[in-house]
Amino acid sequence: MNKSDLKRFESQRNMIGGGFSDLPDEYFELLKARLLRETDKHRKPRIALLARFRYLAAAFVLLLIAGGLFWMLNSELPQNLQVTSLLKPDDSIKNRVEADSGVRHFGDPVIDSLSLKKIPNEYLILYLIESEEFEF
Amino acid sequence: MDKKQKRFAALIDEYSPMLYAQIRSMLLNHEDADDVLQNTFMKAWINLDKFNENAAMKTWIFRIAVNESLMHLRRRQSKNNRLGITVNNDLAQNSRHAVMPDHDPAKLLEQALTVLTEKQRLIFGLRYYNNLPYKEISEITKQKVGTLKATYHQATAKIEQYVKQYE
Repeated sequence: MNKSDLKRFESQRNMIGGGFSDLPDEYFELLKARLLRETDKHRKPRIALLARFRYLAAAFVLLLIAGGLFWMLNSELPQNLQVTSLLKPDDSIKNRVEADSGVRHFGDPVIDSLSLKKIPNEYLILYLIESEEFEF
Repeated sequence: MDKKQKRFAALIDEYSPMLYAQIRSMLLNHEDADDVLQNTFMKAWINLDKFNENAAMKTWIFRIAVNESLMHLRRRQSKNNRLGITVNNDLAQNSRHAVMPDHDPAKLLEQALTVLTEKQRLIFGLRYYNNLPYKEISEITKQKVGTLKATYHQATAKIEQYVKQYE
């Protein structure tokens, strides 16, 4: 047998998968399907793990939201109140102006002996007692 | 199917026939070749994210296949040793083929493979079935090109001698 004898296997060599005699039909298609199923199994445990903790995660998120809301309400309520109080219209000036408008100006009072005589003595004594400048 | 699975599916389409021929030529029976081929692809799947160089993909996946095949042969050998089986394991595995040599080229070549050593089958598979250049075989097996050429030559001479007996 010479070297060219290996050429008799040339058709064999070029066949898919080496053309082995007991290679099942559609072996490579079935192998691919099997391998892709296996890769799915590798991915599923991770998904299952996430699914197992989904209720816990949802409860945690709800707790966070509730806590956040509670904190916000507590911390911002006084500020809101302050703001509302600041937003109230300030009537003090207007009221004062209105009050002043009713005041009648009579000019500086004139005090003389005649006007003093008109003041009752009791009032004068009380005034002098209450006045800090006057000492007995 | 996500991006990784699509990439993996393309890898299977491209390499499964080549890897099957390689593994089958080393292990000599379909059942073992099927197991090892599946393990090879699963290892590739696990490490696919780490491996992004498409140019070296062929060498990488062939290395996995060769290593898995050699590990399988070691396990088979150690199992046979434990059971006290001392016969040539390759011939034992393929006795149903080897008893009656076939003149069908497909079966004749399969039977001829049983007379090769593990190393010869490894190099023969890479060179003959997969038509890989010696440089690539050298990268996969970490052996010198001269050694590979000599091994391939010995393998083909043995096959020729085997086939000649049945002509």
